[in-house]
Amino acid sequence: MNDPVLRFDRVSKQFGATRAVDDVSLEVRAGEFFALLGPSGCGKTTLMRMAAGFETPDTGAVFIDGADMRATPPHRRPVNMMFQSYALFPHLTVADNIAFGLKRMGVDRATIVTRVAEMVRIAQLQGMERRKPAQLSGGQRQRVALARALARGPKLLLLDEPLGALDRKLREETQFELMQIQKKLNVAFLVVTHDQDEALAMADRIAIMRAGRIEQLGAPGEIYARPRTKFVAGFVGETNFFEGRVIARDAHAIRIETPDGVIEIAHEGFSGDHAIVSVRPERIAPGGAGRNSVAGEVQDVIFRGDHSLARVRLSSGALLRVAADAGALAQGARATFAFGANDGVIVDG
Amino acid sequence: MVERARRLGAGRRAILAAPYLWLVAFFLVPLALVFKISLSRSAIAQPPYVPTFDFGEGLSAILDKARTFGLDAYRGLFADPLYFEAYLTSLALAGLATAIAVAIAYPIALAIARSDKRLRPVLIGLAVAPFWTSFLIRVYAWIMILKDEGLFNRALMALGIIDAPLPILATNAAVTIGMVYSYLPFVVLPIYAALEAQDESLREAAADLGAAPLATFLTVTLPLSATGVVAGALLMFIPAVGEFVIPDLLGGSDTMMIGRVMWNDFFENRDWPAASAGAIVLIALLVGPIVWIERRRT
Amino acid sequence: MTMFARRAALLAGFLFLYAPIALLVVYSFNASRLVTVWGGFSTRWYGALLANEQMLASAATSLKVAALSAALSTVLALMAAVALERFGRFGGRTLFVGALFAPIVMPEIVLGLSLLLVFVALDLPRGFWTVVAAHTTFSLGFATVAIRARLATLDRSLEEAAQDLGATPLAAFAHVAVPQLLPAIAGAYAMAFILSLDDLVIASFTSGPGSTTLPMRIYSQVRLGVSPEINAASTLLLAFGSLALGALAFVSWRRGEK
Repeated sequence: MNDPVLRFDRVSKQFGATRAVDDVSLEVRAGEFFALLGPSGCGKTTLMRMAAGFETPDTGAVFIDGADMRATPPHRRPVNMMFQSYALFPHLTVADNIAFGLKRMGVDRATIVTRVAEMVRIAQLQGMERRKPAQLSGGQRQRVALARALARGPKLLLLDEPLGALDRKLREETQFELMQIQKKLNVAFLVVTHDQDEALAMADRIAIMRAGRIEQLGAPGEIYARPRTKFVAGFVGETNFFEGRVIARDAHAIRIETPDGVIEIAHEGFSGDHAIVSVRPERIAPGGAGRNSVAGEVQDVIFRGDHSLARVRLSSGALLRVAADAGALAQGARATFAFGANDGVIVDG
Repeated sequence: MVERARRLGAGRRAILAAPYLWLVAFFLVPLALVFKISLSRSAIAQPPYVPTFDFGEGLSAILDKARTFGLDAYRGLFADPLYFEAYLTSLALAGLATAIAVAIAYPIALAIARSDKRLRPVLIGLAVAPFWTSFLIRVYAWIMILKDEGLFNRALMALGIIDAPLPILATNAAVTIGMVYSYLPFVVLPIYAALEAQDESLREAAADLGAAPLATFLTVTLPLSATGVVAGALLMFIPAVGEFVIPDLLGGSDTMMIGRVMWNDFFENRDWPAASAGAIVLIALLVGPIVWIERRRT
Repeated sequence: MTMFARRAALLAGFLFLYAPIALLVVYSFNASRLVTVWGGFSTRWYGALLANEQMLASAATSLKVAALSAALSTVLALMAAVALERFGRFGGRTLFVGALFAPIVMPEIVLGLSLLLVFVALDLPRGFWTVVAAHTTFSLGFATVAIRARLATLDRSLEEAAQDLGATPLAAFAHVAVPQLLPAIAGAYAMAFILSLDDLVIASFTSGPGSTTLPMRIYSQVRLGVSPEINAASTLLLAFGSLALGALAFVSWRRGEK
């Protein structure tokens, strides 16, 4: 297809002694919903602020629509940003907030009025036009911030923790709204978030960042099912790790000696002699059937509505997380748990 | 990491230049001139001094003359018991007044900080409001109250407590009262700010851990408000040392505070070098401790 | 602090702060020439005051000096506050900060004296403009403190949002920061105005014939002893100050309500 809307080319940024962003290359394609996911301090916000122009990379370059942005100040960049705090102008009404960017473009009054009305409709803010930000609820403020950022018709919208300030219930509704608006307007979204559920739910592609570097980039399903590193496996979803020496191998599987017994895992060209395996709780079943089985005592059970999560103390002392039907496991019970060779993924340390 | 000083862009330089140039012209150059004149000799002329050196002569010439500097004004300062006593009196009276003001301001600040949340801004506003009214007028009010046939003495005599008026006006006591009164808002404000910022749960925790109200005050509230007390005391003490209006209007002819001595030297004796030297010593006296406190803090 | 102790402290404190001012006002309506002997209610001293042309001329001078020096001071203070809050560690910052804030703690007499020496050395005739310049220098530090405190609390992301929406940095400051700074700017102006109106010492050094300010005029009369006319003048000044202060408090209260 054509050029990506946003391209980071080997950008790095140092703050004092910390490398906030460390040699990152990344592309956001036209019309896609892209999430930068990582714990706080991983450099995701710095990376996004480089796209907006509020940070300058020490080395490397940022391209928007194929154009080098190194010498372009924020106000001349064809992207817009939705701030984490929303940054609504407290002294301006909702309509004036939305019109702010249009006025800077120097378009005529009539166009501004129609465009503002259109954004008000898209963000479902009818009747709120004359209110000041202080008179709005959290959800309404979020929508004003979105409408304001979209009003100039950017090809790429940057969203810094867009749902961070909303309560749990509102967050899910808003997720759907954001996705609908994104598809309808066909704008590329770059979202920064520390919430894996949010990223998994909304994004077409996710980049997982850690300590200034991209640890893995891919579609949500791929990242969840085939995490490349221990960090990614642990950060995205819940998981269990088995670790040990490789004692036997053939073309399709390896056998690993762990403190809880020998397990067998499928692999594709793994050549090391020490392996870490990630097994998701829902891939482990209580009872017998399965190539690998471990035994332990159920230490506690957390009720999660549709299922329960049990923590099982294994003979080695390690804790195993197992997802099971509610009520299937009782605290204090001894049981065996099994998983197949294809239920585990070998990850890097 | 220490950020390096950086060069500013043209726009920023223009914004900085306006206030910077103003301060150079109307503060730094004048201060340098005071220093220069303090090294000059007094003369009967207009302006009434003979410069020891000229900044225009260049550095080498100035350094040459440095060996024969006219330190007359400074020698005079130390030889003249008047100046020495004036410095002592200023420090002593300002110190005494500051101590009294802190003692009065603390309960007021505490009472405001412990008042209903909605009342606090009103009360602190009322406590600080006198600062916005004329200083001169507030000092004048005390002349009216303290003089021999003033309101205070007449009230005491009417009540039969005294037979003859107490001479208060034109004494150091009047100067102290005047300073406490005039600077009290300056002291209340920072103490209040420090007390108001304290988390109420700290006191609740102290009580929960068995501290009686007085123990809580002494071990939690008071230590945490120390910065406010120091700030308030400095805010009052420093200008009070150099005060002119209060000793001039409320003090006696023998209340020689340094501000008044300098004023007299300048306007009446026309000894500009002496007044300038007095100013330089005063700055050293006041700025020295501030720099020292700042250094110790960091 | 018990409720009783709290009320006692407030009562005693406010009595100490306000009783002298109240007495001053009450005795300005005294018919007697002896200030401290009550001789019945009268407004005669206000009449005498309004007929005192010297006093009126000085009041006019003071108001003009205050209005002008406060305006200059506020503009310079806004620039200084922006430089201190936004420009990082520029070269010469330490000297700048020192020169800016030193007049706050320095005895006024030192500032007055040093400025007089410069005006004499430059052979500048002392008068209205020298007082304006002196008062601007005097109040600049105070005004900067007032504006800078608010500027520091401003949410920087608001200006970033404005820039993101196409405003130049200067336009972002003007459209977004300045409206939020307005109360602080008004406060800085009011403070500079009051400081100028109130100053005796610096004006005494820097004014010339024909530019005698109100505090200088009052001072020279007070030195001769108390007089009911001074009480009347003081009362008018207090009323003027209270009105200004009340208006300022009302405006900030209204803004807080919204």
